[in-house]
Amino acid sequence: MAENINKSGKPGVITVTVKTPKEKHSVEVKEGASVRELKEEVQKKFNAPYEQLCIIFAGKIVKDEDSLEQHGIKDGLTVHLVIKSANRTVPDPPLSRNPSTPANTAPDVSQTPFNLGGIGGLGGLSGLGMGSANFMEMQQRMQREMLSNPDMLRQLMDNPFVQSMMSNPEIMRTLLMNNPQMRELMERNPEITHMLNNPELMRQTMELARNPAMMQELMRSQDRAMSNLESIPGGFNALQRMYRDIQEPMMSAAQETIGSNPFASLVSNGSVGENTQQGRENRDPLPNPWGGSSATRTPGSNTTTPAADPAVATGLFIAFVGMFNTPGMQSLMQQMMQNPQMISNMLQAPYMQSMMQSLSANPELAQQIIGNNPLFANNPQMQANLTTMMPNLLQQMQNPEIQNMVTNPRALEALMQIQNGLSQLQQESPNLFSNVTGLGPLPPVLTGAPATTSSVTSTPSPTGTAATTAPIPGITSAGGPLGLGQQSNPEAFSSMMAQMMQMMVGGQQNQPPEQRFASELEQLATMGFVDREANIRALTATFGDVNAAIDRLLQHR
Amino acid sequence: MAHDQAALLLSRQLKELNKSSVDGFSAGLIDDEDLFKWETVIYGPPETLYEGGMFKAHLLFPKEYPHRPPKMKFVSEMWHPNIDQEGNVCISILHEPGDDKYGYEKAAERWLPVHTVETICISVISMLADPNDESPANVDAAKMWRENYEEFKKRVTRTVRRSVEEL
Repeated sequence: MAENINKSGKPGVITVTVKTPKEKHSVEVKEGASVRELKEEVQKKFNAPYEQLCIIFAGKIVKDEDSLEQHGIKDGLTVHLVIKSANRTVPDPPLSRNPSTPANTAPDVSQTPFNLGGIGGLGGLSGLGMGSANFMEMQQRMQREMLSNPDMLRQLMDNPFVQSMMSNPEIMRTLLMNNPQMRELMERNPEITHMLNNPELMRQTMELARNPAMMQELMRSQDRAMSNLESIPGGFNALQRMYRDIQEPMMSAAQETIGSNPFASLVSNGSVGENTQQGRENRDPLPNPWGGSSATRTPGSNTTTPAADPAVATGLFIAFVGMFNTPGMQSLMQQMMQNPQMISNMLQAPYMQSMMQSLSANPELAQQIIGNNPLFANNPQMQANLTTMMPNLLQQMQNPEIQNMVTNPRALEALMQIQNGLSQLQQESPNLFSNVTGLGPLPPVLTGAPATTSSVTSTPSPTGTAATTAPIPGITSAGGPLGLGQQSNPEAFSSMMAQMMQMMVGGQQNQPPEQRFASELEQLATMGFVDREANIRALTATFGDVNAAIDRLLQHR
Repeated sequence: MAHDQAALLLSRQLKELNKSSVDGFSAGLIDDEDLFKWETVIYGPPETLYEGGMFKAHLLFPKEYPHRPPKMKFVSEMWHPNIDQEGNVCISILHEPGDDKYGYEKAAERWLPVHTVETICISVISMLADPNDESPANVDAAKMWRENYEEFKKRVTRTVRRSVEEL
């Protein structure tokens, strides 16, 4: 090889291509130069500190004092360059956040519960959409949108429902503790637990999230922190992982909250028009829709840990179901059942707002609807409960912040049908809308936030007794947070909840999922999804939709 | 002579790799005199847990190359379902040719004489990105990967950090 006739054309100079995973530069050094000299050149080209450079050639890390010739680095050859990140001695920043650094703790830690809170709120919404695969997608889209739109985030934060939930650290904590994956995460990351156990910190965070100026500041500093993280090799990955770790479990937990399709069973129950449980207090142990976590959580039932948002969400959509489950709408419902996408569309449609407004402005209408509902026809007490509860729930539901989050033009069609149904109802009973008087301002559900914690602990009787008399841990605690808004007769309420749950669960859960999804399981197994447990979980979450289950399984890989 | 053929192939590969290096790894001889002992630095593939890592590995070719596969062994500490505790890489293309007695792999998935240092390294990189759960070489890592992904991630992040510190 003729070294003096080289690529650069200059005698005594060789050109080496230096490559990092991202960039590539040609570097000229004099013939017979040392690695040190090459690195000095590289330093200029790549604009990186000398100490962080690491040259690799032919599978070897070449040392500074060696000459290029020694390693056979010749003109025209390529060497690899690794730019190490600075301060490698510092413990890995993305994963081992140091809880004892006060300066960092404030923005860093507080950021997390805030995010969780936002997601918690969404988790509630997921309850409404029954976690169909379509809804999942929608929710993901929503979250993305939210993350890219701080304003929306703030709006969400201003939502009384979310606020009240977040202002109650107990609820937040239970919500998180309810999720096995979250629990695991917390067990491994004591900082998070610590953070959750500190109501002061949580409250501060909520304040932060609500206050636009502070929020902005926080966002800014977080931006910085993020970009710092991203510049570390693998840092971006770590962020992604954090996102996955926290968001995904939260979402799937919210999705699994309602293990089966409650709409379906309600409709079938409703159309049959009878329910053996109706009008009787249910004392049978139920399959716990919250995965038994509440049972372990409250060993002594009198501790009255208020239950988490899944319950709130359940309550919300139960009221919702009540509204839609009128005889006049049965067929519509049935139609919708055949098309889960339609339901999620419906729930996210902008038209919903006007409908709900009209409903909440006409409490009588709501009452009437409930009265007409065969599900409740034979149970005046339940009816009354639902009626008093309804306006509040509607108020929550009609919150523009919730609805702003979701706008889907496709839903218009579905909504039109519902509106048609409503006008039909109006025609059939024209007096309905004239009786608008009375009832007065509606007490906001759950917005008595500061008082909530104390009220739970100070009234252990309703939930507490229920828990001791009826061995239904999931249900009883589920009655908790809703019961807060319903302190007038919480016991009746919780028994109503129990009945509702029984109805919802009874239809489908009698069979264990292995039997229900036997053929689907087999299908998955033949496709090479060998983890039976995971398959069952996925099928349960997707209501037996094999395709959706596969998506899910692949995502969770 | 088989030996000569192997040496010829390997020296040609070495020359090629030096001239136009392939993204994702760097390979050369441990000792310039011995064409059968290679060392490589595998870069952790981007957008995987291994991103940012610089993992040293040795490739030891048998005299019968290319009719028999080399062995690949990571010198850097690794944590991966298909890399055993000693660092030996366990992927089908490095398994002796012919049908697997355990029936796991088809002949086509096993060693073929067309494989080179480059194809092996690329296979290993793709293995890093996408572990094969079915025949784990490191059962603990596979179990962790399956059941406790969090812990798995932490463990891998640690090895990534160490691999860079070692450089």
